Formats: sequence, C-alpha cells, structure tokens
Amino acid sequence: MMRIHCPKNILAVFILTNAIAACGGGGGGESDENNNSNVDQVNEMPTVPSVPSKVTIESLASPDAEFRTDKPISYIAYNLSSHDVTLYVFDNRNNLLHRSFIVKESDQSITYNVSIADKNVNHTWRYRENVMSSSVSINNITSNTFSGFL
Amino acid sequence: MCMRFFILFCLFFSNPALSITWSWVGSNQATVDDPTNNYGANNGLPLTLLNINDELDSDMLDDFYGMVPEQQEVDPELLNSTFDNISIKEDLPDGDYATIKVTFLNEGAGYKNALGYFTYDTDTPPTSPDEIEHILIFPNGSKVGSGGDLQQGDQVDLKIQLYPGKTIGFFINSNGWDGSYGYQKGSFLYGQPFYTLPSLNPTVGLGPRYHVILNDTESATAETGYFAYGFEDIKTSGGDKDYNDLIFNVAVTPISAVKDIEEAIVLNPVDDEINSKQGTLAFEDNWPMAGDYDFNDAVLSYDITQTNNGETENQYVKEIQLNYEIKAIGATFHNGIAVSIPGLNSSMINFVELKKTKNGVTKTINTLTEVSTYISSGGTTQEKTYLYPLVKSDESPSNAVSFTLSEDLFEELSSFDKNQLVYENRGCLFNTNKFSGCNSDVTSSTLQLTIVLAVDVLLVSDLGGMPFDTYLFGSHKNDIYRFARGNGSINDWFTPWSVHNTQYESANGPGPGDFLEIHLKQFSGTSKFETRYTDDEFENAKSIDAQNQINGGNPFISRQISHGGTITGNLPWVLDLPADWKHPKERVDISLAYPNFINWVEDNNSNTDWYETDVQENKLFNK
Repeated sequence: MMRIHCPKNILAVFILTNAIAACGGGGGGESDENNNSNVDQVNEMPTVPSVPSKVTIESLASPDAEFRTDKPISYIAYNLSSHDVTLYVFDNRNNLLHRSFIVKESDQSITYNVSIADKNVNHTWRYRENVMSSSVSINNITSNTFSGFL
Repeated sequence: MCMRFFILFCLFFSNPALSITWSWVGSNQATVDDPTNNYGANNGLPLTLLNINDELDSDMLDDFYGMVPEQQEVDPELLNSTFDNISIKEDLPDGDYATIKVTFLNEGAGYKNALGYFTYDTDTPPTSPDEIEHILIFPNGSKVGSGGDLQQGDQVDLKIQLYPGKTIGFFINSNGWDGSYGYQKGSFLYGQPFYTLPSLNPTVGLGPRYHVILNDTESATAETGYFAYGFEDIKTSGGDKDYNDLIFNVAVTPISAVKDIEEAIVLNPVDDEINSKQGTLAFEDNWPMAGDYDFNDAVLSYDITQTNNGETENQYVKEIQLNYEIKAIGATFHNGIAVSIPGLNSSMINFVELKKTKNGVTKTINTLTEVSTYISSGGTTQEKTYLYPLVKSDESPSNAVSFTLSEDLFEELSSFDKNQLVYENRGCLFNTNKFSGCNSDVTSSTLQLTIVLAVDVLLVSDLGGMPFDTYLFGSHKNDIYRFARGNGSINDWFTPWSVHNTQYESANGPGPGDFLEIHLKQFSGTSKFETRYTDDEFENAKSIDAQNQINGGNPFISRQISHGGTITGNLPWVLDLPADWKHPKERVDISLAYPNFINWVEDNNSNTDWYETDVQENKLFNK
C-alpha cells in the first residue's frame, strides 16, 4: 500500500498561504473556494459566459438607511385572572424577549424588539406550577389579554 | 462484523455496569433497607410526608422559573456557580450540627425520576459512584397528574445530623422508579445517576453539571435557610437543557452553619422586569477600506439581558448582563472588542465584572485584575503586567463609559503560556475557511459582562437600545499584536496616516490601537476615535472608502463614489443580525450568500427577510 507523506514545510507554506489570503486585510477580489477547481473540463457545447452577479460594493444605500434587522413591538398586556402572573414572551427561536410580573386584574405595558421578519411570538403565562402558552400575532398588535388558566 | 464484536467487547470490559445498593429514608429512622413499609405501593410516595406549602414564599416557584425558565437553555452563569453542595463549617462549637429537610416543589419531566442524597467528608469527596451510599428520598419524584402523587410543599425530614466537616449532596436517577414502592429499575438510563458533585458525572454538552442551586432567601427565616435545586434529567448533548425537570428545596437549620454560603447564587424576585435581545454582530474590519465585504472578520453572537425594577412608573435599570460568543474570526488584523452603553456613565455603576470561560474554566476580571503580555524589543523578550482596562475612561461625547470585552480576539482562542510567553493562536481563520491555520481543537471563550447599577440612577427610558454600541477596535498589545494595518508602503492607507500621527507609535512599533474603532452606523465613535484618517488631510495616503466625520459625514458608512459609472456608497461596516444568522465563507461577498441583501441595502423597506430567503447555503461557512 502506498503511503503519501506531506512534508511539514510544504504543509506550513500551504496553511500560511491560506492565512495570508484571509481578508481582514485586503480588498482583493472575491473568490469562492468552491470555484477553485483545477480539474480540466471538457465542454461539448459552447460555453455561454454567465453575467457576474452584482456585488454589494456596486450598491447605493439611502444615506438615511438604518440597516435594522429587528423591529420594536409595544402593546398592553391585561391580566384579568384572579392570580398574580408572570408573562414570558419568546420569539420563534425560543429566545426570551421579555418577562413581566402582572398582578391580578391589572395591566402592564410591554416593549421588546423582535427580528423584523417574525410575525408571531409565544406568550407563556405562569402562576406557580400553572402554565398556559399561546402563539400571538404581532402584526398591528395593540393589546393581549389573559383571562385565566384552563 | 468482527469490528462490532470488538467494540462491544471493549465497551463491556472498559465500562462495567454500575451496581447500587439502595437505602431509603425511613419513617422513624434515617435509613431503611426495605421500602415496603415506608412508601406507597403504587405511587412510591413517602408515607410520612409533611406539607409545608404555607411556609414557602408564595412567589418562590415563580421566582425559580424566572431564573430557570421552562424549555429555555439554562443560563451559563448558573452552571459556573462555585457553590454546588451544602457543607457544614468546620469551626462550629463542639457538638453543634445541622438538620436537613427536603421539600418537593415541582417537576416538568416525562420520566419518573428518583431523588436521593449522599453525604461525605468535605475534604475527601468521593471519586466514583461506588464510594457513595445512595439514600432515596423521593423514589418516584412525579407529581399528581404526572405519574405520581407528590404535591408542592411535600417535605421529608432526613433525620440526620450533619456535623462540621461534612457535606450533603443529591442525585437524580433518571426514569429510575420501577413502579413499585420505592424500588428502582435494575439498569440506569445513562449508566449512572447524575450527582450534584460534578466530578462524578459524564461531561457532555453543557459539561458535568446537571443541577442548579439557588439560595432562596425569600423563604428563609432567621434560623432556617432554603436552597432551591433544579435537576436536568437528560444528558445535555440533547434535550431542552432547562434544568427544571425536578425542583426541590433543601431546608438547613441553622443556616448559619453553612460554609461559603455567600458563593451561592441568590434567587431573584420575579417582579423585576426583564428585557432580552439575542442576535449576531458581524464586522467588516478593513475600515476605512471596503474590504471583501464578507462580514466574517469578526462574528459575535450576543445574548443581552436588562433587568428593570418592574415599577409601572419611574422604572429604573437594575442590572445589565451581556453574553458574547465568538462565532468566527476571518481576519489577519488583530482586533479587540468593546461595548459602550448609551445613557450609562461610570458614576452609575455599583459593580462590574467580566467573566471569560473557555473549556469549562472561568477567568474573572474586575477593575483590579492584572493581565500579562510580552514585548520583544532589541532582540529580547520580556513579560509585561498591567491592569486590564475593564472600565475605560468616559469616552463618548455623552460620557457613556466603555468596557473592554477582549483586548484581542485571538486571545480568546488561546491560553497564555507564561513559560513560553505566547498565545498559541496568534493568527488564524477561525470558522471561516476549512484550511484555517488554527489548531484543530481550537475553541473560543465566551464573554460575560455583568453591570450592577446603583439604586434608581438610570431611568429605563434614558438607556439606549440593545445590543448597545458594541464595537471593534484595533488591538495594540505590542509585539505579538503589532498593528498590521500598515505595511510600510505608501500604497496602504495606514502608513501615510501614521506618518502624520506619530503620537500613536509605541516603543515597539506603530499602531493606532484603540484610536481606531468600527461601529454600527448609528454611532459616531468614542472621543478616543481618531477621525483624521483621510487623504483629504494627509499627502500620499491612499484613497479610502469611509466618509469623513470632520467633513460632516458619517464615518461608519462608505462614501458615495462612481463605481463603473454607477453611484455607489452609504454602506455599513457592521450589521446587527438575528440570533441564528450564518456568516459567509472567507472572501465571499455577503450578497453572493444572501442575494436579497442588495435589494434590502438599497431599500430597507424591501426584502426585510433577506437573511432567511433564497439563502445560498454553499456560500456560507459550515463546519
């Protein structure tokens, strides 16, 4: 069986070359490592050159653009139940966004930020071991009401 | 086939099955060898329970879930606690001891888990489960309606006297109850129980801890203290990792006998309001040049929690905790990371601490912590020790204070070897390129900054929005961190700049260090940020892409220029993205990985979901 040795100095040069090519440090042309194949290709059909994709640097953004990928959500949560409850708000990645303690028969202003493409959050109302969860649409939401545990 | 037999053979002889001889808490004695007279035949319920629900703080369970929420991966801080088990002080008066009672609170498990305890000499903890006497308290730790008959507040007196120098620990036997009295199944779900002594547990996923422990000061009386425990019943390579599958309280009398109680994390009241934000910060670090626009030069995930006092009026900020994880470093430059919190100035801070955790080891940094680097000068190398600049001077025009999270991101991949005066990862491509140059087993530190504010000094309405002003700066740590943005050529932008800014040169080489900053567009830089970097000011400097603040522009977006006959520009160097965002491979423009990015950049009201639609997975870095 043939064994292939890779001399350490060649390996080091290879790694170093890759490291130096990293861009933190240089404007350089874009490249995709998937396109670095040296395999000869046989084309039976004439190749139609593809139009290179536009890259970001060829774009003009508005000077007022905020580049936000989140959006603020604000509404009032009503607790009409007979328990002091804790409201947990989770996004659809199960990240906790907000937690409020709302005493019985009162309300609380809720504010948090959520990813701009998200359309729903999860409300979990908890009093001791009692838990109730539901999906809540945040599209134009102004209020949400908890009436009690089932 | 032979290989299969070989593997089974090895497993059998290298990991012999654990055999445990169980004991049980008795009705009238500390332990019994037979559970049939002390536990319910069909529910495993202890027959001598006392329910103390009325003695517990009414909000205690809510408070526990506030810190260990259902189906949320546990807060890493709780797993870094140095207080795991209850030890009795060695210097108690002769004959003094503590008594222990265990109270069931709740469970959220599908399994019928068993809870037990063990004791040991504090100075000589057991090194294997074989050395432990396993005493079951709740052989079936399931509540009413969930496979058992336990109720919140059901308490068992262990009937033991814990003397100075002794420690009590607990264990969970996952899905251990066999359905009869207090008996346990003949085999273990994971080969063994999980113990509150982490050294006895398998290390997977979140490490060897399968429990959290909180000092329940709300239920405490002058004489008796309570510790709230939560167990995870599944190996943390899977499951929800929420550590609330079995929750119980341990009452210790007298509480004054407990050793190192100040190290226990205290249960927080749930009536504090919490706002959290999770996301990803992606940096292009070639500022003021556009670079390759792959946004992977530094990629940090963040999880920030802001705790407010919960008042409906005059709501004040109590604490801010910022957690960061370095997801990628695709840079040759050495960059540090800092955060400035708009609205917060140094006079408002009561306590601040930075924790860096790597491979299970936590390094805690406060304002008095010294760190080391080394300097090579004139052919000699020497170590230099200095105060870690955790709290920088008030730097922004609004006096917002900055905190140094990392002086050099490459340090967070490394362990400083004082004997050789080196960090082993002084430069490599971390998670951006398959041929990275990093050590094959490299991992990054997690960074946790905790800021506790003085009482009622910062209104919630005066605090900036998360993730605040988390920014990159040029590292300036002398030789091994020598500034790499200039190569001595007039063709790079920095060399001519440095000629005109000799005040930034150190004895060991030039470098703007933290005079160079890269911020999100909405921020203008701290007062330390040097705005005079352009060829407008300095002869021979190469044209740069960033706008010039001294000429009235925003320095953290690009200039409007003609690019192939088209006007381009106003582009950012930093993006704040959703939590699960994946960064492009090395040198792949972000718009090639996310084709809708360009449309969104040109009109922020269109393609707002660009980060999750038409994603070119083959352009993203995947391990």
